[in-house]
Amino acid sequence: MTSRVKEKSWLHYYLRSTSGVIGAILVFLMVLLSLIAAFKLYPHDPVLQDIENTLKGPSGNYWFGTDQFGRDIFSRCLDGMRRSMIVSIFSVAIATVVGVTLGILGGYFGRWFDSVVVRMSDVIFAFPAILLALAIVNSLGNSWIDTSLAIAVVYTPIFIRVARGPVLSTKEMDYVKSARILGFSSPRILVSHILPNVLAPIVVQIALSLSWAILTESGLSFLGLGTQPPNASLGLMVSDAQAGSFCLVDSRIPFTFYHYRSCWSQSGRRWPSRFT
Amino acid sequence: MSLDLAGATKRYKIRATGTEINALNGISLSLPEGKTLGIVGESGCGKSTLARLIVGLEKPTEGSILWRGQEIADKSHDAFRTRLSKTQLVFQDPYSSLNPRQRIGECIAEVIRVHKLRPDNEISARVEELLTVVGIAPDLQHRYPHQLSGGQRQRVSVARALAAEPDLLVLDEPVSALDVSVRADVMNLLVDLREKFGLTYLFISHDLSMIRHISDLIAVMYLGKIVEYGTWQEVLENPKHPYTRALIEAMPDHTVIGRGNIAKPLTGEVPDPANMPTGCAFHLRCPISQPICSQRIPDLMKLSNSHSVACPEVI
Amino acid sequence: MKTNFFFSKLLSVLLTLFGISIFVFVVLRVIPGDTITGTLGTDTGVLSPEQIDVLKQYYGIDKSLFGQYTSWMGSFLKGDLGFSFTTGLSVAKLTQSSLAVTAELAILGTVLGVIIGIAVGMFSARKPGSVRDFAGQLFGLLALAIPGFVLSTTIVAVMANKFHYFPNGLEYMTPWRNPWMNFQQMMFPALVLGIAVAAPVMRTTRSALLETVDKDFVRTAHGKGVPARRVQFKHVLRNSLIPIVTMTGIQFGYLLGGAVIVEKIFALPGMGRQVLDAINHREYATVQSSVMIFAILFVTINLVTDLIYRQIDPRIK
Repeated sequence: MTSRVKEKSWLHYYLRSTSGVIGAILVFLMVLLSLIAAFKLYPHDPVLQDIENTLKGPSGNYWFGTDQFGRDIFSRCLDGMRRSMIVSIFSVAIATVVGVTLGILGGYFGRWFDSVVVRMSDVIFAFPAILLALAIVNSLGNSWIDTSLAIAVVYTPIFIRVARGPVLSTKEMDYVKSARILGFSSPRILVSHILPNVLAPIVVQIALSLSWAILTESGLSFLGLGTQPPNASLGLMVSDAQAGSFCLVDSRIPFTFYHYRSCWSQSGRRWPSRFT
Repeated sequence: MSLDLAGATKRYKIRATGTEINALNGISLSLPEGKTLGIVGESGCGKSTLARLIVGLEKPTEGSILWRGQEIADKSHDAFRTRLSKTQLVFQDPYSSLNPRQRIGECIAEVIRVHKLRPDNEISARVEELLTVVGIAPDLQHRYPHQLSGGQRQRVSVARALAAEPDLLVLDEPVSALDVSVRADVMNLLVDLREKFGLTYLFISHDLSMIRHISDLIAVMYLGKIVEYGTWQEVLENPKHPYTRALIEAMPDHTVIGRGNIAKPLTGEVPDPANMPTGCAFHLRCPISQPICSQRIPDLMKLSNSHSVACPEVI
Repeated sequence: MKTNFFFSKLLSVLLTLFGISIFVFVVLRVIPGDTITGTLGTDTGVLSPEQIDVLKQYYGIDKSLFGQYTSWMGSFLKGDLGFSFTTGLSVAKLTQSSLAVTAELAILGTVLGVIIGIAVGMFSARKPGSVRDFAGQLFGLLALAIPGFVLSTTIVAVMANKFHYFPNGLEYMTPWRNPWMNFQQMMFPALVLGIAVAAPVMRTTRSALLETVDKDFVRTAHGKGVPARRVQFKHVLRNSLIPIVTMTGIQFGYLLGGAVIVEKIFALPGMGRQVLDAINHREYATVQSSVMIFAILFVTINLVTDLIYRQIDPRIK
């Protein structure tokens, strides 16, 4: 009965962008490696010390060599990556849910609620991210949940801004007014008429924040306030490397950063194009 | 049964300067059910504010707006209990009046579903029926608004308004954003729908030739006030107010009986509503303005049973 | 209109600072529960109730939360930032010297970053799509992706291990006591921060230049025979300056955050180190005051950027 119009899906556009595809492959690889760590499939126990084999170079047994306690660097990389991923995903998820909710409600309802939301985000914005995360972790503790919460607090105002701005313009659109004239409830208008139309910048922001959160987490661990030894963390490993064997593998962090960035910002950019 | 406005006034506060502007200034009119009232005026004269008040999107600062004897913005009103207004609005811009992320069929179905106007199993049939009525092939219901032309989108807007089963439809410049070639089609559709569903229209336009095509009654607005009101014959063929005359003069294919006082088109800009001239708001641009016009605010005065005009100089 | 803007901006900044003070107070004083347990750890258990009361009075936490806040704010505004036990100095005194270090680092870093960023941006924009453009963009990408601490540790490792050159291993010298030593100690940390600033400045410069090159007034300048180099600097660069300045201002603020890590690695006694040391030594008064000063700096810089921005662009009134 229906002749649906053949639409080129966002995947089609996505696959045509080289950096997007490279990013997607690399992120996929990272997720895969983190999963290997999650199922403890790494070649050695990442915290197991082996005094016989300290500071060994790469070999068939220890792919990336060993550190000063004889722990396998490759396994530690995998496990560190898993930790970084968990913290970044968890913290960005909290920041997204809280920030987007506050931003949309503030933008839509305005008045005093909006003023409070905006003022609150201004306050949090007034701290350098790493410093604020430090202060919060200092108060909360060093577990991965505390780290995630600290990073989430730092990133929430970004999501408030990213969500609130487009809501202010979208709520003036005629289709939102129509929805009000048609007697739809505020929750319905917010969820099915406003949210879908402000999603694109939020998706891009999630992508960027995931990569920043990995950086913030490694920064915190590096300063001794994130993941605690003997557990592995990419930031902690760079810090240890100061002591002696500087390991090439640590440059994984920037890669992580770039993969997320290119992959997600591509998808964010392409996604809305089918609607415009 | 009718739409009755009595002294409807809407004031907005301008936050930057703290001054108030009168977007609507004591509008009184009566529109019998089943008739069409055309409202004409330049942009900024308060036409769209009037539309928003009538559909209950905003409340009047003063005065009342009654539909079938009941206050439109009255919360105890039956329709308000279900939150579905019996007055609906079709917007001017077909590109912003439909949610770009919603397929057009869903956009109509949502209205029916939310207000339980049909049992669930009849909704899709109803959507197809409505689309057919406005001249859209039901196949197109899975499309997104951006895949339709401006005329088709406007038809969808009308179908969505009809889905709410309104009695009064406010049409705010429904064809002015459309290509000239499709305007006539949409106008004819609107005329057909009025017959078919016994609708009452409030048709807002800045273009007298569109108003003439569809209206029984015409109100001419200038800066938040009605300056002339009457049946279409009275207003178009025997215009009294100098502003109405100027508007008609500007129509390419219309001759005015008894032209004479005005041979030149309107000059000057519409005054800033925040800084209104004293007396008659029109006197600065009026070809027949008298010294007294800057002191006296003219009221709408009856010329006949149906025809009234707010200019003492022409009576 | 202009003074009006200034005052409303100032008012909003003051409001924000008030919010910040409450936030800092809540995060640092209320959540950790008790400074005493924080300081003494499990030893708290052996204290008698009287001893605890004396300690509470000593730390000023015997009062209500509101009382604690007002007494902290009161002494903070009077310039009494508390006392650091590990160093035996008042926090105000500590801050005086550490603020100078961070300021020097931040300014050097920004200047370096702006120079590198604009240079690479111009280099890239000269021929979009060319190999030079690609190289410039690759630089921008790497500068953005490599975290400051990885770059810093690399520099430290290479310098110390390969060249046996590590001026930061020696005692810190102020520019007044030993300017040459100070320069050597500041050079690399400033470069690390500068590279982080350079990436966004480079991107902004590139896109602003590419946009301006197409404008009519640039074509006119070329058309009337102005030498290409002069067009590039006088007409193109000057009109691209506004986004570059905005970007620099934003980055200057973020740079303060980067300073925390860089100061730690390069052993510079700046504000960031001060906060970190205080956290490690569990000196809450120092942490609280230092974080507050950081936030005040941050807000002030943003305010100044905003004002400069309005000065540069004659269209904004």
